[in-house]
Amino acid sequence: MNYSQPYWNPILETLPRKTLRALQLKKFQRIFRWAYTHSKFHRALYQTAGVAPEDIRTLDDIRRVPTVEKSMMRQIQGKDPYPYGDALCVPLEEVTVYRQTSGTTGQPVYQPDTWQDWEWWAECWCYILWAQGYRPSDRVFIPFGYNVFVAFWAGHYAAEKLGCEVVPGGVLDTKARILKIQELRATALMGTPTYILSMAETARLKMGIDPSGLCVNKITCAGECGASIPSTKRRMEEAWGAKVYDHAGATEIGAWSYECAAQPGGLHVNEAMFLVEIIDPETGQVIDAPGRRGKMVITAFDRQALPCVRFDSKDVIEWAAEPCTCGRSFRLIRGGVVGRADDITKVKGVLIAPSAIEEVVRGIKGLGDEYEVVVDKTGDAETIRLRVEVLPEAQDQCAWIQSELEDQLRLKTNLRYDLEICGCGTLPRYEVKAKRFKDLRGKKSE
Amino acid sequence: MQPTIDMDRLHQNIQTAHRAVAEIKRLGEDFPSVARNAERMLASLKMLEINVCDVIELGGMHREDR
Repeated sequence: MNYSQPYWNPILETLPRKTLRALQLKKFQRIFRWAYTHSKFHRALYQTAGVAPEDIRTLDDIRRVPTVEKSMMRQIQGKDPYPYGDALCVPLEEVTVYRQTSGTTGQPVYQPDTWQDWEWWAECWCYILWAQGYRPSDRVFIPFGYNVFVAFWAGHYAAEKLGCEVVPGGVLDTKARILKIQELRATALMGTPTYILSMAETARLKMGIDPSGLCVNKITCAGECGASIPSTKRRMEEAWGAKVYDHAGATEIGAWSYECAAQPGGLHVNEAMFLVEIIDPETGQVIDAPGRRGKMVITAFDRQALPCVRFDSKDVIEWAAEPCTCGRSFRLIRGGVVGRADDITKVKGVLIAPSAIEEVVRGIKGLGDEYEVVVDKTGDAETIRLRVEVLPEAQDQCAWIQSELEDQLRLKTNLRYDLEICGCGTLPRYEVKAKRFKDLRGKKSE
Repeated sequence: MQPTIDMDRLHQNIQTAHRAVAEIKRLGEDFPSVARNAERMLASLKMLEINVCDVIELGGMHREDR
């Protein structure tokens, strides 16, 4: 086998755009018909909208198909066929695995998959890992709690499928994981940016181990957008002496995008497996031009038990202007997922994405990796407080750091913050998805 | 430059394999170890179909696309 082949699928990943669009139409027609004929929930939704499988003749016709939101999936679950409700497209006995969403935005959504769906999940991840240079010679350490959350399960299966040696770092604590990475000379890691940084900090400060001296040469991140935030990516790469790659996926969708080895400052959408539409939240029109942000509506072409057809993900993305130098014809989204429509909020009349604050904090030398943002309201006055940690070696530069932080925040987010400089190690640490942005407005009893 | 890949032959062989495994599954209806392993093989074959057959079955794929 040719391990220097740069593409997991040299045909689909380099398909001319016209052929790729034709393939997407064919695959959309197929999954739409599947959902229409196998799911009571989907059929009722489509009949109400007056659209049937035979109406989808062109890619433009796809806009007639109503979108599905997470709240709709919450409403149908807990009913028969229990617990998934009537969107389930296969007999219950064909479901081989249960997962659920993390519940970041409310009640977790249940996700059934058949064995074929699970093969598909791993297949999508194979595109990611191969593009990021994973090969059978890699020993991949996965420091993840192997539980009801999909997280790195599919990454594990995909790495096995590629032929890598996988070390499941399940119930070990952080120190034990670092020792195991060291002992086994693991060459690759998967984790959330939060945890990758936290592991490096633990290794350095609590164990006297320099992570960049270990054998890890590549890290695949998921679960948070940090690996696409330049300052966060840089911190991880410097800490571990490794290339850090981003990927975006979701429990209800699948692993739909990946950063390639060229690190083009964005993620390739796997357009052979998914149809991504960017929708202008104001007008509802599709955005095809690069550089304009909108929310992502996405279809997974080959997921059967609980189809994902025009799912309104609330992820905020934009198309990149230039194609990638890697040769893939799959389009790039610039800067990865830049936020969630739910997260982008107005403070003091200014729209703000939490990722913009992270970019500033992680870009200032002397600040630790952790931070916390608290938005509150007293009377009519809104406040935004930013808590940061200054590293022990930078304690004598506090005044400069504070001034730089104020300037950068004003420049990048157009807001003035109440800053709080905390001692190193005082802010909360997270192992999976961090909750650093706290909006207390409307949460207090009046 | 990418090597030439005989997509038509790959496609034909995947279809042949699919038919053979589907038949194994049917024959193994009262033979759990045969039926369940055949079921898993069909799921793997589906991934080959996604990677190879779907685009071939478009019909309009030009030689230079491969």
